[in-house]
Amino acid sequence: MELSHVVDANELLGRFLTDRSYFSLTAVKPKAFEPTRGLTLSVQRVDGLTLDQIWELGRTDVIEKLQTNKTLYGVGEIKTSTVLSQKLTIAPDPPPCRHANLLGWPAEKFKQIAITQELAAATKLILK
Amino acid sequence: MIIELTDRERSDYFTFPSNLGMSSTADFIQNESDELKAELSRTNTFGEHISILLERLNQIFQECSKENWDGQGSERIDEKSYSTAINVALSLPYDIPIPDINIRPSDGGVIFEWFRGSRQVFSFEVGHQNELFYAGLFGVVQSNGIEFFYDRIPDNVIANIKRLFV
Repeated sequence: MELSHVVDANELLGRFLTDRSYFSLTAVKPKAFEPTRGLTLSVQRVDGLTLDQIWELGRTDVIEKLQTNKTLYGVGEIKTSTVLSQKLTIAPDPPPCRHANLLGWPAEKFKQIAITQELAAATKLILK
Repeated sequence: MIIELTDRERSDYFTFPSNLGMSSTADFIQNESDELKAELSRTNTFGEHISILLERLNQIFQECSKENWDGQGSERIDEKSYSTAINVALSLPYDIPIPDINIRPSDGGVIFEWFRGSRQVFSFEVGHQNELFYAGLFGVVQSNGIEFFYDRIPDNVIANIKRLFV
C-alpha cells in the first residue's frame, strides 16, 4: 500500500506498547515515548485501520522485527497534530510501508523528558 | 553532645553533608555517620524503602548493561549516572513514594519517575556531572530545568515530587 510522503496533521499514529513499563492500567506512560539512540522514535501510521489490522501490523512490523523477545500489550494512539505541536517532525521511513520516525528532538535532556510527558498525556491507551 | 545531621523539614535521613575534613575529628564524624547510615538501613521503617530502591537499581543494571537491551537500538547503562543514582536513591526522603526507575534508551542515563496519571507526573534523569534533568506535568502546569545533586536532592526537586502527592 502506498501512503503519502507527507503525514497529514489529522492522521493517527500508533506507538506499539512492547514493554509492561510503557503503560499503567489507565494511561500510556512517558517511557513509551523515550527516543532511542540518535534521538529517533519509531511509530506506525495507523489511520483508518481496524483494531484487528492494528494488532496484525504490530505483530508483523514491530514484534517480529525487534531483536529481543517482546510481547505486544497494546497500542498508544496519538494525533499527528499533537506531535507537531511539540515541534517534532514526522518522517515516513518505509519499509515497512507504515513506519515513520519522530525526529527533531531538542538537545536539552529536560526538554526531551517534558516532551515525552506531553506526548504520553495526549495518547489514547488501547490494550490488546 | 547531640549533633543534628538532618533538616527538620525533610525526611531524607540518609543524607549527610560531605565530610571534607582531614583531622582525626573529621574521621571520627565520618565513621559515626557511616555507622548511623548502616543502622538506619537495618531498621524496618527506613531499611525496606532503601532495599527496594537498591534492588530495582541492581535489576536495571543487569538488564541494561549491554547495548540494544530493548531491541530498538538503545544505549547501554551509563555507569557514572548509575553510581550517582545510587546516592540519589539513598537520599530520597522516606516519606516520598518509591519511584519507577528506568534507563533512558537514548543515552543510558538513569531516570526516576513518579507517575500518578496522564498529567500528574514528575521525572528526573541523573547526569554525568551530578545534574538532575527534571520535568514535571501538574495538570496544565509544566515545570522543567536542571538542578545539581551534591549530597542531597535539591529542595526544588523535592517540592515538585511532593506536588503530586498533596
